[in-house]
Amino acid sequence: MSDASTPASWHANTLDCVHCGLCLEACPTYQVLGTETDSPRGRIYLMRALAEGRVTDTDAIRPHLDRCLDCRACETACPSGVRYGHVLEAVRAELRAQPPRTGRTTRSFRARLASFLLRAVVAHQGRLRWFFRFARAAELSGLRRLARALRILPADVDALVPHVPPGPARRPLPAVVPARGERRGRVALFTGCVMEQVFGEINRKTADLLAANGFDVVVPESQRCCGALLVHDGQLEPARELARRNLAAFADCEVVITNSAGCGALLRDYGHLLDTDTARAFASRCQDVTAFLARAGLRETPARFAAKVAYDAPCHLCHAQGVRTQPLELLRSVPGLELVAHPSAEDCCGSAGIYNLLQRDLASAIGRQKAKALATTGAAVVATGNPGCMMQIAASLRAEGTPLAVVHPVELLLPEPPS
Amino acid sequence: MDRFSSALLERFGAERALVARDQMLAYECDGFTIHKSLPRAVVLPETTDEVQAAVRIALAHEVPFLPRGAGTCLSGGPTPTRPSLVIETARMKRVLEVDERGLWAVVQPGVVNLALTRHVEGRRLNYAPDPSSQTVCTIGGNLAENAGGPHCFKYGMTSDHVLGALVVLPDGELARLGGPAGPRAPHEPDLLGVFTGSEGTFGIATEITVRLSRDTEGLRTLLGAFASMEAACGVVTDIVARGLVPAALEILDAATIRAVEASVYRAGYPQDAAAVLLVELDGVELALDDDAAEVESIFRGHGAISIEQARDPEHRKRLWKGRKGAFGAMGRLRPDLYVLDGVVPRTRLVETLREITAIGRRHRLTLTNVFHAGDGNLHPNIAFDARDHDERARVLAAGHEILALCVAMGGSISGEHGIGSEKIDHFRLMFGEDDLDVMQRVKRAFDPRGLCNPDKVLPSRTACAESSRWPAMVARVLDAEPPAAESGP
Amino acid sequence: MTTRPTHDATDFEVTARTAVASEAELRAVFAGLRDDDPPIRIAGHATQQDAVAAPDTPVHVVSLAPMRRILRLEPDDLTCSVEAGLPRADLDAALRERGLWLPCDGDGEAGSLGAQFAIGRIAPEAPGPLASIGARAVLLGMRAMLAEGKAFASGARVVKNVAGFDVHRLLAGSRGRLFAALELHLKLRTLPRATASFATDELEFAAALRRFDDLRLDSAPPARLWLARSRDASGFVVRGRYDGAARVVADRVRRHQLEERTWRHDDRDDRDDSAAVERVGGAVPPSRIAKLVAALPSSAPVRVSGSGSFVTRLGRDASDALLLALPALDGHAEIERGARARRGRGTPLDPGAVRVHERVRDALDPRRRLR
Repeated sequence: MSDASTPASWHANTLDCVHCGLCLEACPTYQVLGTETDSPRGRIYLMRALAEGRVTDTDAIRPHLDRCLDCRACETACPSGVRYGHVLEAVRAELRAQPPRTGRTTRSFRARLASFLLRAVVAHQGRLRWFFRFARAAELSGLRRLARALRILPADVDALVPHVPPGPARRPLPAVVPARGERRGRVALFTGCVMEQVFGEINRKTADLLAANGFDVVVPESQRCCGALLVHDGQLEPARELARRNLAAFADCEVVITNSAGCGALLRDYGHLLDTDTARAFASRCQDVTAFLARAGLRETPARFAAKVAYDAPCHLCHAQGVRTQPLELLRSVPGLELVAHPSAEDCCGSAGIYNLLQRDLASAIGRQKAKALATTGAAVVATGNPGCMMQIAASLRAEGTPLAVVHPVELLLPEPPS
Repeated sequence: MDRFSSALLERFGAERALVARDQMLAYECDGFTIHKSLPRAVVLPETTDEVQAAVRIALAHEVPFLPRGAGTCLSGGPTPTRPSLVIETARMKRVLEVDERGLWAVVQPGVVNLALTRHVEGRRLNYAPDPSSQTVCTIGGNLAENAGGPHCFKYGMTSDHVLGALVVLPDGELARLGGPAGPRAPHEPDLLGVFTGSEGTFGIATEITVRLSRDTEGLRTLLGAFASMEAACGVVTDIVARGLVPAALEILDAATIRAVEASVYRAGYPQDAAAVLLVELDGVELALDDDAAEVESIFRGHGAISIEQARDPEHRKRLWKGRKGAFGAMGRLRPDLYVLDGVVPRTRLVETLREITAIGRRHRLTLTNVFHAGDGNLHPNIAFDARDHDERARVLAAGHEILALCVAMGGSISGEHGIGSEKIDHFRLMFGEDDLDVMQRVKRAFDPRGLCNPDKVLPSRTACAESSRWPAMVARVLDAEPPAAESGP
Repeated sequence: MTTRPTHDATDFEVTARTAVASEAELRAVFAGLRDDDPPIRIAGHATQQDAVAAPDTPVHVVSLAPMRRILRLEPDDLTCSVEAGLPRADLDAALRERGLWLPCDGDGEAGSLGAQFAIGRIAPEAPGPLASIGARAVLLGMRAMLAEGKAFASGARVVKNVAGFDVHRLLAGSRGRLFAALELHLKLRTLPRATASFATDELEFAAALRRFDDLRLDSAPPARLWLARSRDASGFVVRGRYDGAARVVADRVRRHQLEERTWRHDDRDDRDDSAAVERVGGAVPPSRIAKLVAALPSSAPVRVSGSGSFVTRLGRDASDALLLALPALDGHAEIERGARARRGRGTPLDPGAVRVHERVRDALDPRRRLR
């Protein structure tokens, strides 16, 4: 508990909330649960009470804070400009540092295991690569199926985690992918941890797309996981360590391109995380690939793609980065592609980093809403620019029996391969 | 654990029954943050049966109870005055029936106002009442508070759109008031009429029949800036006198314009204006251009500094941006915001506003005005810091003086926010002891045991009606323990 | 105050008639009431007594007819306050002079404003945004008196108000059995800039209903709309009135191929009906009008508004059958005019609502002095 005379640093941020409630319907957990304690306004109120020393038993409020997806849809809805994400992340860090008051723990085994894995594996590129080599082997040898049968690997986790692609697809990109045709500039690509291992193909396509449109793409070898999953988990120190390494890795890069909304949102928030001018300068150089290309303009017409496509906006792109129209602009330029209306495109899908592994029921309830909404759009394909969302939406669509394909927008923007 | 909590947990389960003291913190106030009080428990029923069950558990344990929607009320309606059971309707969000040709729908009380319009918009229908919080507030809450909004001038209040309600009465029994054919049978009085706006003190509506409206063909949105408030209000009087019936007539004063233009809601309103007037016309395409031209000429006749007409939906959004963001912009100035609500006859707006500005100045407060000019419904906003005891007292004192002023002008202490706990001390500005007695009798007819949202709307008659310098609310705040933030555990 | 024994043409027993000219006079009447005195029936001009339920005992009729002043008329604020005994026609005339009108049904009908509200037949006619839900939209507040002599107010004089409980809303349909209204605060509108009345020729029911529905569900519906079958007629006519800007009114008439034609309801004066004919009034959801008409004998005159309120004239058996049929249509109705024992009979009311109504009566008139 913070000393009442020196309220926690984040307390001031909670005061921006005037308790109007306009955030409620933007919140995925409130929509499912209906409890004020699981709404942004209610959580801010609980966090403010915590800072003011009015909470008697932190264990009673912890589950409500744990349930937050940190999707930041509430920040978009907030008329008073409350920086909800910053408050939540700081409070999670503070609660993590406190032992449970009653001696019992409200954190599940799964949550604790996940915290450990994030810190010990995901944060280390080398270990992560080994992990996925093992996972691939497990898949090939039938170990994954066995684990599933023995319930060591729970069914919901199994459904969510896509099959690990074969080795070559997981190989790191070359250090430089040179521009094709007339050279328009040089950009650096942030490859991410999960992205590289599970969606390596998309990294490759992102580099291709940038190169085809005239940009040299450099891929610094020393880059690390962005740390977003750690920040969501309240592990701020390990995240800061990763941030500092990334700052160094991209020190001489004018433009840093991300294709994962979650990573992009944190990279662009390094200024807040590290609170240094270097970090703030770095943050301002980071851009989502769609924002960058929409601004630069596509030089090469994308390959024809005759299908109805729904664009689903990752929370960390639309709410956290404010990137809304650019992906739509780019998709509209794809010959044959029909962009269908998707009114709830900015609603969270329930992925939220590793949330769908920790809050299974809630995440799948939220995911089902997303799948239902997508089914009504009439689209054959859904495009979304975040690996976690791609996995969650694919799993939700499967669970609902809705046959939509899930792609990354980048995949629809590549020009015809040279014949 | 006490028996009451066990009974709730047994009936509703841990996910839908909150009983821990710290969870109650989130429910200790609504949009009116000056009055805070912890409930005893919260339940989230999903059906009429479950609402009845919750009420019966409360009755069995002599625990007061009250309904709550989205908690966007601005007068303390869903804030318990005693350790009560909060019956939260957020999970009752099904649209039960839509009759497109009959122009009505039946909804559960937790259906969000805008969600109903979204539900029927494909059929060129809408639900007309649109309180500013319509993206989150619930139809049950709208019914309880008789909610208004910027389009009341043409379309009326919630009470003009409610046809029926299935109500769980405070004794746990059901009553069906009105229905799709209308709010009452010819041979009975308008019980639904008196239920509407009873602020959750007469029972809990669990199915609500509302009237749907046809979408109109088109819209024209105009913004005029004026060098004086007199000019802006004069325009409104002329528009109404000429028989034009705009959907909305909204005015922002100079202080609001400055706050808005300094915020992220910057809408490009002329900063030297004393007032901007937003006029929205809707109806048949054929007439709209003529009507808009007429409004423009009225603007010019009153010496408008500038006139703008929305060219497209984006432009319209920009013109409305400052109006819609006014509360947010004020909220950014200080930690707390007090949105007042009073009504005066439209012809007395100018003098009332002048007096309100003087009251704000006298109490050294940041006070701005945004209002529904067509209805004379004022919303003075005061940005302040509730942790500053002295400032908080000055806010309440100014609020009291403003409401007394509205009544002196022949108006009302509330146009759409309700009395709740906020204005219970101001009730006697408008009503005498006999009025109060009759209202209390009606309340008792609905709630003989007095357990349904007690201590709201009507002041207690035992509390002496003596005139004191401060209303009781101010006195209570002044005498209250300093808030926990300052004392610490 | 004048009190006299009576032998008027009411079909129930009246022990005395008193006309009061002020609040004080009414209070004096109430104060002089002993327990064994006959209860009181509040009336306006007592012109509608044969069109509401008769009292179950002999009564002393107290008329508010002398209370007929317009207390306040604020054209710029679009509000007025009137005494409850003011005839509707007098108010309409005063308003018309100032370019205003009271935007609810009941214009041109006999009786005082207080009676119009208390009898509660002020039903919405118009399907458009200016339509009111009965008395609710126009009655802003009132001053009234309980039978114990206590005068009280509720509501306000301004067009928007949510302070206190809206006890004045209980006036609608109360038939003077809860309190006596003394003053009414009303909401007004500016007269429409142009109007166009229209009526079709007689049509087959199906064709008439189609036209009626087209007009009713239009994005700019007429301000008044009726589907009517006259006495002795086999077909239906659709009639109504557009209000609004001249161009719009003309355009709508053209677009719907309507013929401009003035009309008046031909069922206004039904006093010539034989005793065997009853007038039944009520409402159905407007989507169920076809079912309503199907439930009527094929010769019955009927008039249904765009919002589903209706009036019909039927023999006893047919009105009993209609009252039985209506609940299945989500409708309700009452025998408005007919033999004393029949008037006031209606579709069954919800038992919960009846219980609340009784408790409200217990609260406001515990000794049942008002009948």
